[in-house]
Amino acid sequence: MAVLCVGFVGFNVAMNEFAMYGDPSGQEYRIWGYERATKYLFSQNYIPANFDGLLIGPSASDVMVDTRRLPGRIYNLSLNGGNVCELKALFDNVVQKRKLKRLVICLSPYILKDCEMKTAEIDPGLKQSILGSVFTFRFYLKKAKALTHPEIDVYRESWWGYRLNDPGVRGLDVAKAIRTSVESYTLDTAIDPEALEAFGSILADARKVGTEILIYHHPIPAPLFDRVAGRYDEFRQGVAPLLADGEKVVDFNTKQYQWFTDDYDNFSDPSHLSAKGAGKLLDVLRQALEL
Amino acid sequence: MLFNSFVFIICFLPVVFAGYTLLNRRHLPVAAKGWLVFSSLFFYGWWNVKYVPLILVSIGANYFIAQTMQSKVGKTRKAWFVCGLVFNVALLCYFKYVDFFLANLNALTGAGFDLLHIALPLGISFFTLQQLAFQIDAYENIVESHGLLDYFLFVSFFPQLVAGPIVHHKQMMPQFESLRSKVFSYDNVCAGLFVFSIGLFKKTVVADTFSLAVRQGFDHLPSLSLMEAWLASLSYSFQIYFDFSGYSDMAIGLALLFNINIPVNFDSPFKSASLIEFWNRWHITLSNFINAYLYTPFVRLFGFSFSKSLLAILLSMFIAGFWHGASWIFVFWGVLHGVGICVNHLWKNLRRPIPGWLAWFITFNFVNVTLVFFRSRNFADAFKVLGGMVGLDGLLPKGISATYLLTPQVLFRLKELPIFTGMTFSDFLINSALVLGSVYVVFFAKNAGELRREFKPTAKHLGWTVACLALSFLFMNSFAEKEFLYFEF
Repeated sequence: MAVLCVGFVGFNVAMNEFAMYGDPSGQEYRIWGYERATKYLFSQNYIPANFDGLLIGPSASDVMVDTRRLPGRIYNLSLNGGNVCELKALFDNVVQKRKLKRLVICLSPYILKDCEMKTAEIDPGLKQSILGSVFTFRFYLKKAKALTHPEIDVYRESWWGYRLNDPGVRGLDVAKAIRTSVESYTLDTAIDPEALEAFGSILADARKVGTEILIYHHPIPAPLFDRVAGRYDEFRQGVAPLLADGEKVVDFNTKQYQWFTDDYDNFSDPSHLSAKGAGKLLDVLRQALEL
Repeated sequence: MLFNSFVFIICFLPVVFAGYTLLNRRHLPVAAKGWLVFSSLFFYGWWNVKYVPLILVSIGANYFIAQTMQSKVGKTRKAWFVCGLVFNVALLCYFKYVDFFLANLNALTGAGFDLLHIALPLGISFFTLQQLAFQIDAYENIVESHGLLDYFLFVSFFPQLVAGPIVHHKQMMPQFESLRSKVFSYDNVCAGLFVFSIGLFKKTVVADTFSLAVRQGFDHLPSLSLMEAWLASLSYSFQIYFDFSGYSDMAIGLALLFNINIPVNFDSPFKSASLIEFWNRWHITLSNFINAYLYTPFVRLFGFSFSKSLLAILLSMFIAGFWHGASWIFVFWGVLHGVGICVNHLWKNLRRPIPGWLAWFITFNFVNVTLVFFRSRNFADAFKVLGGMVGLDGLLPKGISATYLLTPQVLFRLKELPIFTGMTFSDFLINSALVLGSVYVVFFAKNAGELRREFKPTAKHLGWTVACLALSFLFMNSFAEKEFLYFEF
């Protein structure tokens, strides 16, 4: 029994899939699945060792946003479906070990509407789980599936943390999807007080060490935004007190960026960007960071 | 410290066992007992060291009262007995029921008393019941004289301290005193590990697997279709059985390592063909306590007639329900079972046997339905599930039809049911396999007690022990949320 346990644990330590053991400087690790768990573990060792900046946000900034196009070495620590409290847990891990040069935040109402941990994957117990548990078996199964079916592997370019669009949306008629959802489109812009506090805490921690902060409002296709413009204004006002004077803010949902939100080719679905849209967004963000 | 934790299995247990064995080898039985007492208190204090004085005071006071009572006669003896009863009941009432009383007082009178929100000390329901039994027997003069150390060990012995089985002094004290319990027994160690591994597997692999659908069905979904309601309620019935019987098996296995036999607490209760039989198979030590210290005294008090014995049953089950939790919903559950047992007795009197399968069907469904109250946070939640079970919210979830489900992709489609939200498809497959296996085990296979009786230290049993432990460790080390249901009592 002891031999079995030691053998299995030893194997997992040797595989070191989450860069938890030893010095990962200069090495490259990708995500194979279990994005939350992986990024949570990466935030403890791999990211602080190799990156000097972070992009945090929900799936809107997770999908297609390749941060290699930004200055410095910015890891895309966004989470699919993530809220600010979950992002803060990962952010805190990184800043404990590394003073960040840059922090880019995708400010979407989604990240401030609640503050609960949506899964059990962001948990200190994960460090023990990866030594040997049902999770490690499932992880290896996911890895095997990704290796044998690369066409559905959305993380195949995740060396800097971003993921590709889901295979299901690749053939989507985006213009039609946007047009048909206009009448029913809603956006939950309510701000959870705990979430707002967590957001404020991230900003305060970053400012304390002189991190350059860039906040951007994720672009919403123009016809959809028009339906919720009033509520979005309330959202802007809700977060405004936390923003410092002179802090870099890029609001894609203003007239200045209507050229972006009017072009449906920039979107893969009403909520996420296409490769083209992500590229343009990154160009804007790069210019803002280089100012 | 939970039994299903690495710190217990890898650190605590080997150290305690080694210390006990070494001290006995050196012919220091008193020191060995002291070592067990110390370890048990350490085990208890691991949860919250602030409550160690509580259990020390409870044990010390009960021992003092029992000793004093036994040396007195007449009214003085009775006074000490009442003192003992009041002390134990007051302790339990304060820690477990004070907020219940205050909330009900506020509701009845409009007085705005603040609730105290006192944390429930671990195991207080169990060790209080044990000591109440001891007090009652001491008053009846059927307790033999025992030293303080033996009494301490009887109450605090860590395998049964926090969630039973509710052991009786007559069963335990002679074992603690016996020289045989001091001698290392290879057979007992092997049997103990075997039974412990079964209990660990039942708790960590099986019970926790059912908990996903239970939480989703009872706590998260606003309404349940008939299919989902039955899935949720059946999942809970199986979860609580595997959780509690698994814990009891672990306790029995652990005690065996120290050559102590703890009574069996579950004997395949879901095979029962009547509610009377069910309570002889489910939480057996509690049933024995209810029978000896509630039902029998009530019958003596009310008089020996059939109708009065039914009243005694109702009262006993009312108290049993209340013991389970400081909430009207637990009381209701207890009363339902009291009524059910009374109906069972009345039917028996009619001498009209029914087919065995029908008797089983009625019993199992009665237990399953009443457990909905046991699990629900309030009556509204319970009626949500029960309403679903009779189809008030449709047979299937909205948007899913029978023709949609009954296709070759039935497994994929079943996974889409809202009750399985949050589960990956592989989770769903693993869980389904475990569910089917558990159903077989519960209804057709031998239980842990039966397997223990057949146990021999052979390679086959070693293989099963290693397999159960290995799988349990894998599941224990996963990051999914865990709960231990009977710790709440």
